[in-house]
Amino acid sequence: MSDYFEEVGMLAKGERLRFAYLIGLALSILFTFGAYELVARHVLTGAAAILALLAFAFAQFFVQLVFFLHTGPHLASRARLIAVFSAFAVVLILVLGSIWIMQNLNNRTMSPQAQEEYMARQPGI
Amino acid sequence: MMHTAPIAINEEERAADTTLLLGFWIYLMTDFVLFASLFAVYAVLHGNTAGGPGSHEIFSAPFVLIETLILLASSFSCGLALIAAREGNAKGTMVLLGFTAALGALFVGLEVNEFVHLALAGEGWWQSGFLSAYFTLVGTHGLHVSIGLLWLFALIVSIGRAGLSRSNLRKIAMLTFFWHFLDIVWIFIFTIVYMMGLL
Repeated sequence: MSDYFEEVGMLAKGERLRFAYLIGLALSILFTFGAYELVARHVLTGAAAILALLAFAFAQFFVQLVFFLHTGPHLASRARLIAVFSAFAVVLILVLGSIWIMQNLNNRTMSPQAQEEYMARQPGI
Repeated sequence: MMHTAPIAINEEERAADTTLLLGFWIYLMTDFVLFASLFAVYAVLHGNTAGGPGSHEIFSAPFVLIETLILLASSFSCGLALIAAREGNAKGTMVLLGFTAALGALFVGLEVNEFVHLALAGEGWWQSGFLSAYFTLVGTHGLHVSIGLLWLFALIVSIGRAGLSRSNLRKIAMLTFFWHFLDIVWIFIFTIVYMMGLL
């Protein structure tokens, strides 16, 4: 008996799909509501809130990568995993680099008036 | 349920389809980079409201939650379609792909509705850097989902004609990758655009 999806390397040998999809769905709903309640109930503020939201997003990203996209340690998906890692490196450089550079540019090219306002907001200056 | 015998493929076909599937996956990764550049633009411009509305004025948390759950449900039903195809159940695959498309269409409908409301209120992409970045990022995702809808319809017709042939199984594999990938992109839109915008 041949299984097309196993033969072309989409699924691991004998992968139990029903189980994987149910786990993936349950965890995705959990993380979505986690992020939603965090914002709706104002549980956290500032940097802590942003970090918690990113943690929920990345947790769901990994859950869906493993349970919906069948990417894992099995040999069949190793080539796909390499593509994910290299794309991820580009994505991090692109996003963090853009924010960093533009923030710097904003700070260094302020009008004198904006600079005074900015300085007034800095504690200890 | 009508079960057909699983198709047998030879070594050459197996190698060709494995390569095609990996090639499609690499296309998805380049799409990931495309979305990352739009996220970077949004991150840089989200404060530039130019006197227009900010994220707090135009986003609604319950509305976005419903959109998110609809897309997640369609992602799940797309997975169920893969299970049906694996079991050789052509009819079940078609029904589940149809259900996936219906949920996807509902999602696109809600998104178009939101865009039209914003534009009619004079808060369109022309208003500020923030709104330009928002419409481009969310609109690009919506465009991908719309293209996925056309693909779903074409695939359902194709399965109706040829059953679970080798080429249709390959298309099912690629389409489930594409559809789950779009849900993953939406997780980040949900988090970074909507939830962080409503903090």
